Amino acid sequence: MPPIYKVSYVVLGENHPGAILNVDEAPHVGATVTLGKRDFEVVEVLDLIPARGEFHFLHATLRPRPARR
Amino acid sequence: MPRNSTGNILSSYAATAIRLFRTPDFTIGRRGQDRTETGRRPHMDLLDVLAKVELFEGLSREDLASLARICRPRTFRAGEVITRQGEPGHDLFIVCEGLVEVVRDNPADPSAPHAVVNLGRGQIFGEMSLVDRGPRSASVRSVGDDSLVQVLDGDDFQKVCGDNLRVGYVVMRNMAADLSFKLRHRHLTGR
Repeated sequence: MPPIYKVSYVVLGENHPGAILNVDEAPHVGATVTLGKRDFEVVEVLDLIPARGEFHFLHATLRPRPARR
Repeated sequence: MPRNSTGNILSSYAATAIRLFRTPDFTIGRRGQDRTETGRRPHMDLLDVLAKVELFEGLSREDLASLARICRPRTFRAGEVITRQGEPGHDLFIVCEGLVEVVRDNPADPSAPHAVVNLGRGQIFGEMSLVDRGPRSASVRSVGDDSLVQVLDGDDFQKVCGDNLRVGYVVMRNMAADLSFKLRHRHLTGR
């Protein structure tokens, strides 16, 4: 089975609860992440805890992107 | 019209063969109402989904099949409440598609509940009430119009874990790891 990335997304600069979800590819700095109807930019990615089996546990910091028009 | 004995034997074999080779009727819903999707080997789809849920990491396909049998798919519209804080309930929920928001009541301003976290694909919720049998610690509502959630009845789930202690150990270990991950996330968000 390919790796699964369980990511804790934390949003900088605003009162946002962040999100936890599984993704098929590890997030990378500069990528866009959509949570609900809002887009965010990934500014940092760290390993949160060691991998277990196919699961990798990451922490990604986000900042809001301008609203889509 | 009465059948001859050869016909009866053949029809009996045919019925047995159908029972033996029939695809188990596991279900996986998609958009719209709760429903069973009968095409394209649906049980395989659900097993593939469950295999990507951390709660079940370390289980065999056979183990996953025993859990798939107790899954019920449900879909929720934006804003629809899935569990409500303070209410009883011990079902366990797995987010398969979409995003749900976990919120807690805000005593200072009841009109503005406190958002705790959003949970997306592969995440579970409801595990606290499953384990401690207490009331729901938070409300959970769908963020989008097509959130697909698998619901596992708490009693059925505990029975699967109790009937196979290895499955029970793996699932409970993973559940503890998931709670730990949520706590780490909460520390990082400072909420």
